[in-house]
Amino acid sequence: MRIKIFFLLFINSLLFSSTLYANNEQAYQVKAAYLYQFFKYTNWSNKNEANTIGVFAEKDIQKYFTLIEESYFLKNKITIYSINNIEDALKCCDMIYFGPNTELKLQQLTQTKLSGVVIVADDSLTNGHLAMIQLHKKGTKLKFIVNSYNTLSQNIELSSRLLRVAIKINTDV
Amino acid sequence: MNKHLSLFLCLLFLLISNPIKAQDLTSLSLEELGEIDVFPGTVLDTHIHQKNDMMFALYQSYSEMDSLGRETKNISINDTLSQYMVSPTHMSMRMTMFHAMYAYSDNLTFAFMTHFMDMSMKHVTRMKQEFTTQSQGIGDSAITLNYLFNESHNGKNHWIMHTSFIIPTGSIDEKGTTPLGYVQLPYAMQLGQGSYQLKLGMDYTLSQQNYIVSANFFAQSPINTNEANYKVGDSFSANLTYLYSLTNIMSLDAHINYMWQNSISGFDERLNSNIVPTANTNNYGGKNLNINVGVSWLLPYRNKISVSYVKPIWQNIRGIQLQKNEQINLSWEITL
Repeated sequence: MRIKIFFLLFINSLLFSSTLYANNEQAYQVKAAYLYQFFKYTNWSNKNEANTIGVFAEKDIQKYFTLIEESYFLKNKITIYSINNIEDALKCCDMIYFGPNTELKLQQLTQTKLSGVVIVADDSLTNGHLAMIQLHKKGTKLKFIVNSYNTLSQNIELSSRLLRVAIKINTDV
Repeated sequence: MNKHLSLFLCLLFLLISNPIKAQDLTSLSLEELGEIDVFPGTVLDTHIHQKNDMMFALYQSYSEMDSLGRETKNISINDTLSQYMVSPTHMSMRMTMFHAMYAYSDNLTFAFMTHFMDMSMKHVTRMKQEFTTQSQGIGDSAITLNYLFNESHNGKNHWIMHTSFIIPTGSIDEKGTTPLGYVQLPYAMQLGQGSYQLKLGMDYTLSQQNYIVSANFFAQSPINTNEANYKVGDSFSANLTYLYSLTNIMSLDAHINYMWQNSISGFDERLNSNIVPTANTNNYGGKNLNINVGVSWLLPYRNKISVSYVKPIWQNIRGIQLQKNEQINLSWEITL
């Protein structure tokens, strides 16, 4: 009986302390760092000088991506834009990240004639296959899937360095 | 025992209350980012790691048995004492297990496991005299190979084959003080099983965004008769696990576990099977169904802690045995 009480107390303390971590900071830090690496290993055929990433996500998630702008390690400055609608997305960025619960926005964007933009989907999206790159939960780790078909249709070249690490789908196009 | 347990829980609580500091990970390569643990939850026995990963883990389990049974029914101490001179009344067991894993490749992970046992059994005689026997020391060890032999292209489904070779590093010569003197303790109080054993298993895991479902089974059988001229019964277990990620760093899990074990074959000549039920090989083995609920917590620097509570919901035991009551497991893992 006493070990039951200890167990219940411990569960209670775990649940209580979960409020300390409303979000998983580390998961989003990893996602932000992935975006930077994707940017680094992408070749755009037509690109202006500014380096821009748009983030479609709630405010408390966007803050993790703005850390990229302040990164000590970046050689080239990247500007992070917070995107709230498709109109903004169509004219803003070299890369767009679709965060949790943005399935509809992703679908709307892929139905436009947008080209030359790297579209990255969060691992939680159910229609992430519409994106060029989808973050992918594998066990306890975060990997990424490259959809080769979507890459070709965007006139964008991902470097062999990036493709070597990626899980690749639709490679026979 | 409870003093140590509460101290352990307090330390764990302090550890998990230490917030994660913001880190700039943009200096890491794509490969390094893919090696960071950002989600909790794997299934203990049958998981694999990425190539060259090492994992060290410490598991602590406490279990208690405190009522006598025969098949599916409870029986009284007096019923037992009508057949035997001595009846066990309560058993507690603390097991500390050390577990190390190394991933030779993305498909093949080796593991080594050994544990330290601390057991205590209370008894009463027909003359109402009470006494307790105890044993503690290193238990049996195991070398394991987990092989990922099938994985879907998106990594969401996989099959793992589990092979363990169990080495009898635990003693089967433990003695204790009883009203009859300093004598050989019964099978249940021995630290090991004395035989080399083979354990084979298979695991299927389905990983979705917020949950993991895993089904696995294991069959274990002794290869040889031990030096005391007996071998433990073959056993089979099947487990169904549902693990739900409550947040990205915390998961809840529930298991249903079915276990069957055959009785001991042969017997230890140092034991008198008419004195106490635990000395009679007919009183070993049986079937039971357990439920297990737990929580896991992913901590900074690839640490993970878990706690789980196990309760049997059905038992059908051979002969007269103390019935399993409850068990609590605590674990800490670190991946390097």
